[in-house]
Amino acid sequence: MATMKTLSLVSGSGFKGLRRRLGIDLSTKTLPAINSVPVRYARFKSSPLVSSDPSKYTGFEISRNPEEWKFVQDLLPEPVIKTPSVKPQYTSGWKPQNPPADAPYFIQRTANHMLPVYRVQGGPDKMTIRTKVRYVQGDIWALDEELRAVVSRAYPKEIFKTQVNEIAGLIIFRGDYASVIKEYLLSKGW
Amino acid sequence: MLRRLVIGAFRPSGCLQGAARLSTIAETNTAEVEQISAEGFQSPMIVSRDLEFPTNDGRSRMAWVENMDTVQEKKLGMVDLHPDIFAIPPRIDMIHSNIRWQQLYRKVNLVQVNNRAEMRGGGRKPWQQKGLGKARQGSIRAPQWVHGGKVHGPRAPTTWFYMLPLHTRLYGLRSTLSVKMAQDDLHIVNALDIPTNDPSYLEELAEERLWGPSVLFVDDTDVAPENIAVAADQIKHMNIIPVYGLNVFSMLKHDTLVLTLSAVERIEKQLLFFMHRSDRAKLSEIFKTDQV
Repeated sequence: MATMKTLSLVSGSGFKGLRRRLGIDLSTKTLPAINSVPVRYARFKSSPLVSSDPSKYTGFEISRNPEEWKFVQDLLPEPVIKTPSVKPQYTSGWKPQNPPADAPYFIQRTANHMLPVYRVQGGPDKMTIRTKVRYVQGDIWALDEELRAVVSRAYPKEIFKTQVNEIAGLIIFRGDYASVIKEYLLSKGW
Repeated sequence: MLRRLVIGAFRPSGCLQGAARLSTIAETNTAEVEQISAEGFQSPMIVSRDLEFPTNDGRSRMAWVENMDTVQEKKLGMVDLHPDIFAIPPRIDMIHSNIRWQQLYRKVNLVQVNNRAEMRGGGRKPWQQKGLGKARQGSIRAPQWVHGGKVHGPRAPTTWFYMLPLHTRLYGLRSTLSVKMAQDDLHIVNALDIPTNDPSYLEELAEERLWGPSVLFVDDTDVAPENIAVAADQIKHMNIIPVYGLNVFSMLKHDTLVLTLSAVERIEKQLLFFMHRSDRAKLSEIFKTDQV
């Protein structure tokens, strides 16, 4: 019933707006049956080809040459993070780990080969700043004492506290000391 | 070369195709292995494995490789284990969150309590609004009535499903493996081949080696050798799972964890890959139940 109404509206003479929008006069056209299945043009498979002539399309050939495959492989992302190649100096300023032999603790680099020292903002207004040192193995208390000495040397007037989580290998400083700690640890070879 | 032969010699001759599954080990030549066995293979031997993503902190873990084909324990050799998998400081909180997740994510609440609209009756105003000196009431199923409807009661079905972050799942598995290793509850065997399908053989073996009583066997394949499958099927506290079924709950539920060499290889490979893959940030996004 609704369809019939629609058709009558389209073909009727008094409905100029819709007719203008459709662009064509449907009253003279043969409309599809109501129960017919429409072609789903959104699916690329049901869309007809632009041209049936294959010469109109870009040509391609399938190559199984491993030499050519190397160029494709360069474009693919690495599945795992690579170990950096050994160089005397890196343009980024990154330094490979060269740990001191006599340290009672060990700081493991992250999977991205970076120092696990982080500046973390927290609290209700994100204004409580903490500095976290992670992946500490061995005598974490020795490192805690050492870093506290370093920070109080750099900021003699500041009062700060640290929290040591030995199980998680984590030291938390209240305050923003990430750059001081990073600089110190890198100078030590961590 | 030596490593290849040793690994080959570990496996019984019927199970040689399994040796090729080890990723760092090339094709094993059957003739070579037979020659070595004929010459009288000197065991125990140390098997050095090329560990992926090696650590430079001086930690190392080694474990004995045992046999399963006799009740008496024979030490066939030693293997290197990756310290990031088998020797991390165990995080009990991570293990707990894994256990909690495993118990909750499959839970569906089926308890439903009717609200006032779903209760029977209650359409009529119980008494007139004015003139009786009583409080005004509109329905006998209002929530303040005895046998009234419930406001905000449990509605079914509600799912308890949630997804634990990827790194918590990884840390839980690594912590549990490290705990088992540190407590001497982790045993590595060359293969799960036993000579008989009698369950008393497995029980004797476990008692002789101070395993268990509950033992979880983990192999790389999801088809276990017939004898151990039949034997373990009759003992309720001895179970076999493939590597892809390894989980924190099952590891803690069983006293002893028995891994085959190929299972160790596969577990290390999978966990290390997920720890070091380059798209970790994308994987550690909060899991959305509604993906649309």
